[in-house]
Amino acid sequence: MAKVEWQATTTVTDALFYDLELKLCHTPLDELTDYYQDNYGGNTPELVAEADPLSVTAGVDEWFAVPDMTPYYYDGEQNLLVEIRWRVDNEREVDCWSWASDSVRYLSNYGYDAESGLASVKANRLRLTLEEGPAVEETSWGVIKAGI
Amino acid sequence: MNRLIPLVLGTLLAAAAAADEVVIGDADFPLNTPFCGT
Repeated sequence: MAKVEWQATTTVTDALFYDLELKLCHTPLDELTDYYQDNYGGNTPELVAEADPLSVTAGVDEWFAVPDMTPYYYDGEQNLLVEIRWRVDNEREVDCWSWASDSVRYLSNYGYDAESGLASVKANRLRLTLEEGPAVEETSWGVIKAGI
Repeated sequence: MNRLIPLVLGTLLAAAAAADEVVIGDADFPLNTPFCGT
């Protein structure tokens, strides 16, 4: 997986997010619990991008990402956690397109080191860029095709 | 909000993984997380 993007609903200029981290993590869970650590299912989240600050400038319906993401080895089968956190910002909001999913798929809270959060069925609309790699070629492509 | 986790179901990824780009979810309503300045 080479890129994770969010889609802005309105124009935003230079919204700043300091000490920002983007982590990805496989999980066996189909729904989130209230506790961040429990949602990893024993796996260790992988830091794939960081920015200090991340500056977001986007127009209506434009996609944006945390730049310079390290490709993540997605196994093609498990569910995926996308975790993002930052310490401080310049109080400029970036409204993003979202949808009401069919299960608890979103956990949020104030505080960089919050242990628990507010769970919700709301979920961000995300655009993920997948690139074929060893995981897809060797073990997962059949599973992916079977799901189409 | 400072710490957020959206969960992407593998079944949703699998359903569209033949393409390089996969869009998960719809554009139903605006949500100020992430990234909200608070």
